[in-house]
Amino acid sequence: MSEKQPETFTKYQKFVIAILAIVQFTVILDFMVLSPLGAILLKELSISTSQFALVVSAYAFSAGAAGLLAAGFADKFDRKKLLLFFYTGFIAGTFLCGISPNYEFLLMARVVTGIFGGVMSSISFAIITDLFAIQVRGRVMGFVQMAFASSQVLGIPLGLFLANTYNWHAPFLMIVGLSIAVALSIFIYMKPIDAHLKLQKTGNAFKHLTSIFAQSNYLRAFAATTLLATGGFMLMPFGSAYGVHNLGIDIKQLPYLYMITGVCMLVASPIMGKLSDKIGKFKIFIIGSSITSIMTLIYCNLDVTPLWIIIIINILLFVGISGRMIAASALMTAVPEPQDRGAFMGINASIQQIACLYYCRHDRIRNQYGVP
Amino acid sequence: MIVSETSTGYLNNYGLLGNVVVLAVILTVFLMYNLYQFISKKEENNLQPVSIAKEAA
Repeated sequence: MSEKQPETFTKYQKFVIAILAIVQFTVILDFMVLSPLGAILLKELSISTSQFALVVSAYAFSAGAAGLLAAGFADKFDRKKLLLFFYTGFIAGTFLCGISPNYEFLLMARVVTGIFGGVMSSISFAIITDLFAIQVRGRVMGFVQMAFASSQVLGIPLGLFLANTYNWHAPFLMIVGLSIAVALSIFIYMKPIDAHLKLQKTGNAFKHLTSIFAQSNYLRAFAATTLLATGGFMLMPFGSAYGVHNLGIDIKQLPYLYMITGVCMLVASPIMGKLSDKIGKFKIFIIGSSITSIMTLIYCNLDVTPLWIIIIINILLFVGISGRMIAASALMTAVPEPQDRGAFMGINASIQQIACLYYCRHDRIRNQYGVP
Repeated sequence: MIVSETSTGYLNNYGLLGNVVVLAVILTVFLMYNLYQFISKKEENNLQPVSIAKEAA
């Protein structure tokens, strides 16, 4: 595959990249902020750890289901309208979280947030695929993936600060405030994205969904996504416990490990995206996979280790993971036909959410100690 | 299934979990190579984003 040197982005393209990155930031932050609020929620709502685990996993479960259900309809509408519709639902769900008076209400609010928030990444990726040529998609993905690191570095400490200063509702209301501003910007400035509507063949959403599963190349892509997601999520659930009990990290030092890694990812993600456009997406995927494999083998066989060494290994591990994820995401966008993009991305996102469900259900230590 | 926790919180078999993750990474490389070949062929047939020309202007 030829990888030409990308041209500079237009003002409008820069706006789209920024707005999609912020959309992703708010959605990921809403998901991630719950985990460190665990200690406060257990006390305030008088709930057990298993009830709290249900609150956390309710989001991922409803997001996975919604992604799959929405996939059939994803290519039937203007993507801007679809983005606004689901983002509005996400804001409403987050607002409900922000005013939850008890456990049952919060659980219902998380389900609502998951139904709408879980579809956001697939719509965003479909928009990226529609608006940007494959030669520059690595760079775009690199910027959008910064949202993950940003939520870890900026969002979670800020959320914890608000929760400690005011109450646990405050971080959700902060996300609502930011999201309303983003939604207004999308409504005012984003142009309709409806060129794919001219290419639609079948009218039935269910038929469209089944036609996606009938294509062998799509199935291979879903298999790759499953392996990509499960590979990453296998280590994450035990990360904090392994760090504290096996590597000898003080529980109070754990946030520094996550924060330093997050800052490095903020820098590394756009570089990885740029390199994947310049050198080649598959080459970067191979390099990222090699770094990930080597660092995984080192990391998983460590004993009690000084913190600075763990930080270096962790950074290198996440550089590898980020490189392969960005390159794979950019390559994956080239798989579906234009008329199938929304549905394909929806199913792809569902698969990731289901893998994420595994992570939610097992991340006990982080919840227990309220560690971001 | 792979990792077990002792009473002190120490995790056993974490090295084995690392090997399983690396195996998953290697399998993903093979699958992605397959997809990459498919995408390359598709690109040869002039892959263009639907509305890039219209929207980028």
